[in-house]
Formats: sequence, structure tokens, C-alpha cells
Amino acid sequence: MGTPDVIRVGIVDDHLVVLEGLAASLAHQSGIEVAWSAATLADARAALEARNCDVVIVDIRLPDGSGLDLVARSREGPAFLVLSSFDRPLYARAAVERGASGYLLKTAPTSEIVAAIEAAAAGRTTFQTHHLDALARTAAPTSRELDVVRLVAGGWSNDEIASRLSLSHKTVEAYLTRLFERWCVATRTELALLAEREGWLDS
Amino acid sequence: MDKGKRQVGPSRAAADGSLVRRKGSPYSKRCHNGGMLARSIRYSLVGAAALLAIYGVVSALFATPDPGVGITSNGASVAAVLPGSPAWRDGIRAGDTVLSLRDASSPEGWDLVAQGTGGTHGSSASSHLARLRGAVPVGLAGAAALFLACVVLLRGARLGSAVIPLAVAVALTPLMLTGNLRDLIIGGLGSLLVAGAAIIGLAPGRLPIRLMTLASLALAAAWVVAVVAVPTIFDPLDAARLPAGAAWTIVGGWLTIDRRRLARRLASPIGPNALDIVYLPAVAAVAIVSVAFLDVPLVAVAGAVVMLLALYPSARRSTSRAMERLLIGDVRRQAELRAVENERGRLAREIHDAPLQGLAAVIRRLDARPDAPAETAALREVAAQLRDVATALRPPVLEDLGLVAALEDLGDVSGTSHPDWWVTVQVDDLAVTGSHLDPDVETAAFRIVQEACSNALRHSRGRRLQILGSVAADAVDLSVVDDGNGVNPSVVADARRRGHFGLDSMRDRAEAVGGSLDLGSDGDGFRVRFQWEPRT
Repeated sequence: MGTPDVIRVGIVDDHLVVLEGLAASLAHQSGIEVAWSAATLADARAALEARNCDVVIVDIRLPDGSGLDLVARSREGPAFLVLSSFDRPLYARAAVERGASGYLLKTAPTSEIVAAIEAAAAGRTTFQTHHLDALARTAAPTSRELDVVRLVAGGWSNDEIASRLSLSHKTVEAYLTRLFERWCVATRTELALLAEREGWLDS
Repeated sequence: MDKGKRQVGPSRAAADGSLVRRKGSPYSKRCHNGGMLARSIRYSLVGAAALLAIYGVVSALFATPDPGVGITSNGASVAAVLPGSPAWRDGIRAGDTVLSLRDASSPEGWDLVAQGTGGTHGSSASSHLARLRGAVPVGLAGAAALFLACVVLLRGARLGSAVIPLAVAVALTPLMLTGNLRDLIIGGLGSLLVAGAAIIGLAPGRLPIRLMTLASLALAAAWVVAVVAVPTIFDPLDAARLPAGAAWTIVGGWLTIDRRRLARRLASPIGPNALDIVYLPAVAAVAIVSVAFLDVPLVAVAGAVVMLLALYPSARRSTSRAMERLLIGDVRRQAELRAVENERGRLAREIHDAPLQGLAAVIRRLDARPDAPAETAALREVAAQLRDVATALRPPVLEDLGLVAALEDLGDVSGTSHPDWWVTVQVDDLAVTGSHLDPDVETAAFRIVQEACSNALRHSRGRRLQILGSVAADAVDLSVVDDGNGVNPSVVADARRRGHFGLDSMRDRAEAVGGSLDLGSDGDGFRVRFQWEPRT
């Protein structure tokens, strides 16, 4: 998506002062136009369907749900920027995982917000450097998962795995379910083969 | 500074697709923990050992030695001699011809002279009586050692477990000298049972339960073999009495030492004063049955009853407290905790809503003016402080993103505020899409981990703090491990005296939602472990 001449922005926040404040600040910026604003998740969804916009700024805490539910990554739809009062890296991670293009604090300087909007409209993602830690993710299994996989590959039953790792039977089953889902395998044998291939069994 | 790798699983928001909370059930839930069961079994067997020791000593004081000899119906020869009995030790064997016999009912006691292939042997009550009475000090020493071992054991030291079998064997030595088969078997089986329990007590984990089951089966088999092998000495009533006696002893000990467990069982249908109503009659029943049917010496029973009654006031106090907590208290406690959390959440939200948003709006407006950078910065500082207050009341991440994310955030915050510690979080999110963890459990788990972390960071002299475990809608297993010396027990005792009940409140929270809390050292360091499963 190329940078349009005027970036049309939708704002979703249930606090009127914030909404108006943000809208007023953005109105003064050339190249940015506030297309619509909404105070609830339902209103926001309706507005998204009815009117076009390039970037949506959405607050996490809304009266009828979480703003994160609105965020969706798609080529045709608008880019999303998540707004929050709390500067916790976990929020940034949750936002980016959902497909947002950035995470902003409500007290951020207007210049920062404008920069984020412009970047989002151009298809780029912005995040604060101090959130980087939380955003780093590994696709490798966790050490507990590795313990379970090793025992499965060794042919142990769930009961034996549970007593060897001092977990409950339910927890072992939950781990296996998650492993099957994450790595797209259907049986223990497949999991063991995958582990062998990926080198997880070499300790 | 290397903060360590933080494992990232799908956050609760991503996995569920929705953050709308469902209200949890208000009913309290129970959780059966293998460790607790093993401990209560051990304690009840300690009680059994204590009663056996009393029995042994009292028997030694008042019993008369039994020759252990069976005479043929015509009185001419010896039919059977029990190996190890007084007569056997004096050299009398089966098949010997009886030369002279004075019955056990005569005032001087029994006297037997018999002649056999090995010569003429005599055996009398008086000589064995002296030996039996002489063994009383040994019995008393064993009982004293047992008492000390119990005290040590109840304080949590493993040493107690090791001393108990020895103490029981010593205390029961007089029983072995009576020559009475019943006493021999009580002594032998009693020692084996207690020894087995003590050895099992030294082994951690679920193994004790399985070994205990095996041991019980083995003892039952040994009992059956004994009854079958020496039918001439036993009469059928005797055969039933001994296991019944052992069972009564164990239940009596359990009643005294592990009141809580019994209280829990009794709690539901009857009411808070159930144990008060049941305790005294139960003790009386045990006493009457022991004397009338099991032939336990009256003095032993009197001693046991006195002991049980002496424990009664403290038993009643702590039991009423426990029962009140368990019955009504549990639900009330949970409601209390939930009310506090709701209040804190409400306050946090109030701070978030009007003040924080208003402040953000003012900052936004000021930002537009080029001449107010200092004011803007100052206001941002105020906003940060307000955020900190709201976060301390109730972490927003817990509200918005769920337990796993909140624990990672906690690790992040702890690591930042304590730069000389290395804090890692590795909590696996095992929630199935669409499942919800009970909000009360979520809050309890978070607060417990929070408390455990702050204890470790504040009191333990370690370098590495780990938050580990897994969270699913139907199972929570979280551990906080620090590689320091753990929380110093004297510090804990001191804090408790001064009114800071950190550890108590953690256990409180855990039990209020039906989970369990375990503290202890293991290979990695000092571990606080919270586990929860819904009551099935």
C-alpha cells in the first residue's frame, strides 16, 4: 500500500477527553484527517464496515470488550495502532502478535503519534526500543516441552512422564496437545520423528 | 545485563480471541495432594507407634510371662512349644515328657519340669518375671526416645523419621519377653509397620503411597500366614482381635494428630461443631472396646485416654478454627479475598479512568504549544506515578492479558527493580482456545507468585530467580525458585510474631481456592510451589 496523500484515521476510545484531545491534535496536522471516531467496540466495527480509513487508533480498554479484538492484519484493510495508558512491554507484544503496526502510550507526544500513523499507513511497524525484549520470540520449544518430548520419544507413557517430571497427568496431556498443535503433528510417533529431525533430542 | 531468555507462548488474548470474563463459581474447591496424604499417614502411624509403646511398657509392668507351651489333653507330654518363648529358651521342646506341672493360675505362677532327649529342663514363672520386670527401663527408654522423635518429626526434620523404628523396637522389647504370642505379634508387626512408614517417610514423592500400599498388603499376608501356621495357639477371636486392635490404634492416633483431615471429611454434612460432638464419644468408644474386647491392659488405655483428653482443648481450638475455615470459612475467606481484589481493581480502574485519561488529554493539549515542554514533562511524570499506583493496586496486564502475561510482566518488573538478580520467567500457556481459568484462581495464583518473588528478592541472598510452570483452565502448576538460602526460618518466625503473615497469607490464598502450597528446598534452590486443579 503506497502512502496516500491524506491519511484517513479512525479513533476508538471510550474516554471522551482523550478522543477529543487526539482528534483536535491530529486535525492540526497536514496530511492527516480524522475520518471517524467510536467509543465502543460495536460502534468501531460498524464504522470500519461503513467508512474507509487507512489507519485505526484503538484503545485496549473498551466497555464492551478488548480493543485487541479489533486488530486484524490484512492487505486491504486499515493498519492498526494500539493505544494504552500503561507502558508495559507485554501489551506491545500482544498488539504486534495480533498484527498491529504499533503500540502507543496515551501520553506520548503528538509528534510520536503522527510518526507512527505515517509509518503504519506506509505499511511499516513501529515500536519502542524498550519493548524490544518482549517482542523477541523464539520458535523453539520451551525447556519443559523439551523434557516432555524427550520422554515421549523414549517411549514412556503419560503416567510415567507425569511421575518423572512430577507433574499432574492433566498437565502432561495439555503439554502434548499444545505440542501437537504448535508443530502440526497428530501422533506421538510423528512428534518423536520431528524431535529427532530438529535435533531437540541432542542435549 | 542479560535478563535471560523469556519464553514466549501465545498470550491469553491471542489464544482465546476474547477477553470477556466469565464469573467463576463461588463454591470452594478441594485439591488432593499426594504429599499431604503421605504426611498424614506418617503422622497417624506415629500416633500408632506411641500407643503401642505405652501398651508395651504397661504390659511389661503388669503382665505375667506366658510359658508358650501347649500340653496334651492327658497332661503327660508337651504338645507344642513356641520358638522364642520362655519355656523354649529354658530348653523344653515338643514331645518332652512332663515330670511336674504347676498351673499358671496358681499364685506363685507356673512351673514346669519336663524330660526329653536333651535332658531334664525346668522353667518357672518367677525367673522370667524378674527378667520381664527388668526390661521395663528399656521400654521406658524406648518410649522416651519415641516421644523425642515425634517432637523432632513434627518440626519437620527427617531425623525423627529415622529414629522412630528404633525407638519403637526398643519400647516394645518388654513385649517380646512376655512370651505371649499375641504380644509377640503385636510387637513384631507393630515395629514392622512403623519401621516401614518411617522408611517411606524418608522418600519423597508419590512413591510412598505405592510403597505403603505394598507394605500393607505384605503385612496382611504375613498376618494370614501367622494365623494359619500356628493354629493351635490361636483361637478365632484372637485372630480377629489383633488386626482390629492395630486398626483402632491407628485411627486413634489419626484422630489426635491429623484432626484437620478428619475435620474436613466430617465438615460437609454435619456442621462446625461436629468434631466437638464426635471426639469425646469416639475416645470413650476406643477405650471401652480396647479394654473389653482387645484385652489391652486397663492402665495403658487409661494413659492413652488421658493423653487424648489432654490434647483435646488444643485439638478443639485448632479444629474449630480449621473447621470454621473449611466449612464456612473457606467460602467466606474466598469471598473476603475476592472482595479485596474487586475493591483494588475498582480503585485501579477509577485511577485509570478519570485522572489518568484527563491527564493524558491535558498533556495532549499542552503538547500542541511550543512553549510548554517543561510542564508537559512534569505532567508526564505525574501520569507515570498514577500509573504506578494503579499497577500496584491491580496489575493492568492481569486484567487485560491474563495470568501468563501478567507473570511475565511480573518477572520483567522484578528484574528491572532488582538489577543484581537474574530473573527468568518460563510459564507455559496450556489453555485450550475458548477455555477460561476461574478468575479467583487467577488472582490467587498471581498474588502468591508476587508474594513469593518479593520474599525471595527481599530476604534471600541469591542471584537467580525463576518463575516456572504451566497454566491451563483445568490445571495450574507454578513454582518460584531462588538459588539463595531460601527464606530464613528465623526471619519468618520473627515476621510472624510482628504480624507480617507473608507465608501464612500465601497458604491462606492457596487453600481458599482449593489449591495447595508447598515450600521447600530442592536441587535448584528454595521452591515455592502452587498447584490447583478443579474439584472433580
